[in-house]
Amino acid sequence: MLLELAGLSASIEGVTVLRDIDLSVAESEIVGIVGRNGAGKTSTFRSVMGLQTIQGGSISFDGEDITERETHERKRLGIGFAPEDRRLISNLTARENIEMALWGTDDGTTSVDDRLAVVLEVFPDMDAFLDQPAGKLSGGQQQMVTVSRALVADPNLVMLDEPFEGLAPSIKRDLSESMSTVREDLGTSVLIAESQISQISDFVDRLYVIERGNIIAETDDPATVSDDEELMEVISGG
Amino acid sequence: MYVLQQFLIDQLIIVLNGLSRASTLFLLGTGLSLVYGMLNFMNLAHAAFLPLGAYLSASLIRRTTGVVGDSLGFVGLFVVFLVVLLLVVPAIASMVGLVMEQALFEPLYDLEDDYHLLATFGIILMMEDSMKFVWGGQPVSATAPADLLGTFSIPGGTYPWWSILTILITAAIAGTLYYFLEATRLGRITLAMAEDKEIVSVSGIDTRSIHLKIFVISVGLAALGGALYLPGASITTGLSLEFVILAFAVLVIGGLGSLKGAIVASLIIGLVQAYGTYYIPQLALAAVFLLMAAVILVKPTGLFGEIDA
Repeated sequence: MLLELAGLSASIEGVTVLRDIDLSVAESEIVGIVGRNGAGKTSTFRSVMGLQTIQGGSISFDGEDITERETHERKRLGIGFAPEDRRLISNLTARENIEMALWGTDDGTTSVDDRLAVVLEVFPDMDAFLDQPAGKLSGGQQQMVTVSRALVADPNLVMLDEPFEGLAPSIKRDLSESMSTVREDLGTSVLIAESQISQISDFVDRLYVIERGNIIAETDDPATVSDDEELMEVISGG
Repeated sequence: MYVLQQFLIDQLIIVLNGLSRASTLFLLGTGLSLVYGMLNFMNLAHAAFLPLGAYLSASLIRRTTGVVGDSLGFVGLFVVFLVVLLLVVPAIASMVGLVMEQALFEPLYDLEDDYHLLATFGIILMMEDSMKFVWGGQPVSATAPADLLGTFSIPGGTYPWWSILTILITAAIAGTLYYFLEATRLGRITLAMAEDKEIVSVSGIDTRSIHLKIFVISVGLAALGGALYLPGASITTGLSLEFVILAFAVLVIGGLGSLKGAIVASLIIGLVQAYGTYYIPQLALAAVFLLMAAVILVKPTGLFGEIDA
């Protein structure tokens, strides 16, 4: 397995937000996590990136235990992360926001332009606003930059936290279509979180359902979740 | 005619005094602002690196003058003084700052803001007493660099070239800092960290290493402020406490984390103090705080209260 969480528990300011989570992502796999707001999706991602207090369990990446690793080291090992709310640096240009993911590991052997060209193949529209301040971009443009920042360093795994949130339908469609490009052309595994299963059910290989910090279902057939009224009620918060 | 001429000369001297004062405040306040911007850490003890720089300068200038003063000509001695004040003193102070960062400041970062203020104020007092222990409680001066440069004539008096040099050096440093933040990778990362440190870390950048570099630069700038301040004035204990209040005013008026704000606020405070000292000396300091209160009321984030270069 590329990423493996084993019995992972985590807390925020003493309050447990993840309980005994088991989750895995294989190479070239697209895995989804669905659950309502506050169910534990973001906490799972933040735990993988070392941004959450871990109470127990372990996180392995590419066969190495990274539970105690610093955040920047996890990224350098090959984990790209696009957080919810985009969180671009508003005073840097879109180009700088993306290239920032290369600055920490720039040893002179990687061509920044070459890497930028790769993400421009995934999001060709980005070429038009690369040199604009990120704070002045539209929501859809910002989302492209956020995902590009996570992808540009050629990670083995990219984690996308609610990437469809607040996007226009046409941009959602473009982003969905880019998932197969990410996997097939870049060879990158994807772990994607969503609160609406319909956003990701078409392209994920496997799906986890999370509720109150617990994984309550796992399936390689997302349709079974959509057909399960009880699970859908949990996901929708009804 | 004579009255008008005297008025204009007075204005020129007040403005030059204000710019000289602003130079010291900028060198102190900008580092405080950069570090606060990156870590949300209000390090009041930053102000103590200004007198540390001044005291170190006093010792080194006296030593230099004693050892090579007679053997070097004007140019040679002036170059030696510049090397000591611009490079050696900031370097020594930065090393002291680096050790203090790891031993005293770093354990405080995760605490609440109130603890930052209390603990770093305690560290100011500790540093003040340490400097008093090393250099004594009497006023210390070392005017050799200013004496070497001398003064230039203006109608009715003279003005020291050292103050002009201080203003020019500070202007060059402000320009360099602007270039650093706008055009270098480390500068861009510094701005990014001021806005969202976590995202910078997620992008694979070792934020702790970046922070240490900026901290060392900031301490060096504060010490440089002291080094440039010393030849024109004597220093004594308590200087940290005088300057910490003014540095805090620079941050509040200019806006936290803004270089542009630090430049403008230093200029405003320097000029307000210079005019206040000339016209109403009893209220010179009060005028600064009235101004600070007015800015807080009108624009609580300061004049340039957004993260920018």
